Amino acid sequence: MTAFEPGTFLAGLLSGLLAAIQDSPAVAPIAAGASAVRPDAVERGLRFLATAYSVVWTILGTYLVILSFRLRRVSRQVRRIRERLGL
Amino acid sequence: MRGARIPDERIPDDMMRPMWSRVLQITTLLAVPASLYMVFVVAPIEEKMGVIQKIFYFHVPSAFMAFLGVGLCAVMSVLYLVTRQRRWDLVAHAAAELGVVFCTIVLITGPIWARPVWGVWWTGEVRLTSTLVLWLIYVGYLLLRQNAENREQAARWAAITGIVGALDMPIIYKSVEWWRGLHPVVLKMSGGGGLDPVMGRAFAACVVTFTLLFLCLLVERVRLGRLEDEVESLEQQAARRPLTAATDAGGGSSR
Amino acid sequence: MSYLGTVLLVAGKDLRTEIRSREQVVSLFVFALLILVVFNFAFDFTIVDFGSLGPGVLWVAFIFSGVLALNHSFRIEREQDRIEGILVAPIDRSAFYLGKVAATMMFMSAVEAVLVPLAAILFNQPLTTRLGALLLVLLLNTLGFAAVGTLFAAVTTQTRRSEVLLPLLLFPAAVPIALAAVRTTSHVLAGRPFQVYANWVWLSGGYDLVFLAAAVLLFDFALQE
Repeated sequence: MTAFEPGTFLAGLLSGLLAAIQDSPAVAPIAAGASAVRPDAVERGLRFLATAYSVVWTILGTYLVILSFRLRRVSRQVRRIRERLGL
Repeated sequence: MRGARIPDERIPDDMMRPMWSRVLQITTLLAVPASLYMVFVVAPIEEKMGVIQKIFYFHVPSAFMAFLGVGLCAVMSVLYLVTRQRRWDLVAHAAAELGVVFCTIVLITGPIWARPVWGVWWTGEVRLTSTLVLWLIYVGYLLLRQNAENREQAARWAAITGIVGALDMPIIYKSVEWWRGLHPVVLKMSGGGGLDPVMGRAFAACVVTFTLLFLCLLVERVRLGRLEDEVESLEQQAARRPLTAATDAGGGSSR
Repeated sequence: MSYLGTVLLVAGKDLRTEIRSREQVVSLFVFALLILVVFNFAFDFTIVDFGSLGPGVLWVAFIFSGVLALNHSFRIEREQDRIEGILVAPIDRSAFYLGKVAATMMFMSAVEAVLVPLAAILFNQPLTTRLGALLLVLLLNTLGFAAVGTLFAAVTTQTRRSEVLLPLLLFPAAVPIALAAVRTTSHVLAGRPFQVYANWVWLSGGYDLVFLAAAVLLFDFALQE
């Protein structure tokens, strides 16, 4: 599995999304122009964008998950020791 | 919002959460989709680079957050060394950790941006190279903390490293800039020339969102640090208790 | 005892220890020389221009042997249990720091003084006539490296994984010095005028000042028990 397969999937999503918002005034002329001239380049750009996007969220998400996990574990520890001490 | 003061009284229960913390979280949760909308719907596609330019909206704010983490760590380190109050060290540690996280994001999104645009993964670009050095320094910071014998030593050593690291950053940047200056290729990872005002607004929205994210994570990380401190002091208390029948029912050392 | 007196005392003590045992200096020389030899095999300097790679090779040798010197500098304190003595003694800790920096500089300079001519011989390079500039460059950059290195070494030698932690912390922090050292050495060996590399010299000097000052302030916190 190459690094870009999830990117390709997301790129497909994003292109669909872009197509759906084509009538957004800023996007339409430029996207249409770009697609007309170099469709594969746009596709490639989208893939890289999607990969980068995934990376950002993966890293942030992983950190958040690890943080939550540690927080829960430490809270449990605190409760346990307090009970033991009769606090 | 920088340097939000964490109340000094211990948070007794992990369920209790001060109001401002909740507000912060909710604001962040709202800001994320709002800025996503601005980036992907409102902001126009840049002419030269195409869609890939939109990485800029994540890459650069992440870099800002990395610098924020480093700067905050340095300030907190100085405060800690001067006052020797634990809370400054807690924030310093959290800030450094977050700095590393955002630095990692910068270092990965940078090459992903560079590859389709310039055909190479690593351009030796000044800012990216300096960020790599920064990443190394603060990874060292975190490793050093782990290798200290106790909390106090870790805090002291980390404070030294944090201050040295922050002092070093501008010098590192300058030296790398001069070093690369002899090479004809000086690629700049900017937003693409002058920033279109709509792009500028989207970018500002992203910076705000990332800052909110940073602060949210900072609050949680500091909370984790406090709770870990509490565990340690409670364990010390438990160790000092004389052994009585009422102490525990089979629960030995919690280690 | 005066501040300067303390500094000289600390540096002199290390120097005397070394003259008596000679263990460290020899290993520093050999290590640095080995690095040069390895690079002599790694790069074919009949094809590759020495000017472009040579200074880098030299400074890799200096930096790696410098790390050895730094580790040794604090290990001997530990081995002879002198750390407690230093903590109790009524001396300014920063004077102790400066003494250590001076000692490290002496050892590194000794290695450099031998290795630069040796490299000239090994790689068939003409020896530079700009000795003054070369000395300045070597001294300034060695000082910067020793300044930051001594601060970090005081901390890392208290850990169990000091061999890994010292380079890990020091190398990124010393990037400006490493870049300045290689660039200026390259220019000096090529015989170029001072204006060409003057900005690098100011950078090294600035780095030295900033980190000597910072370390003098921070060193106290490195050694507390």
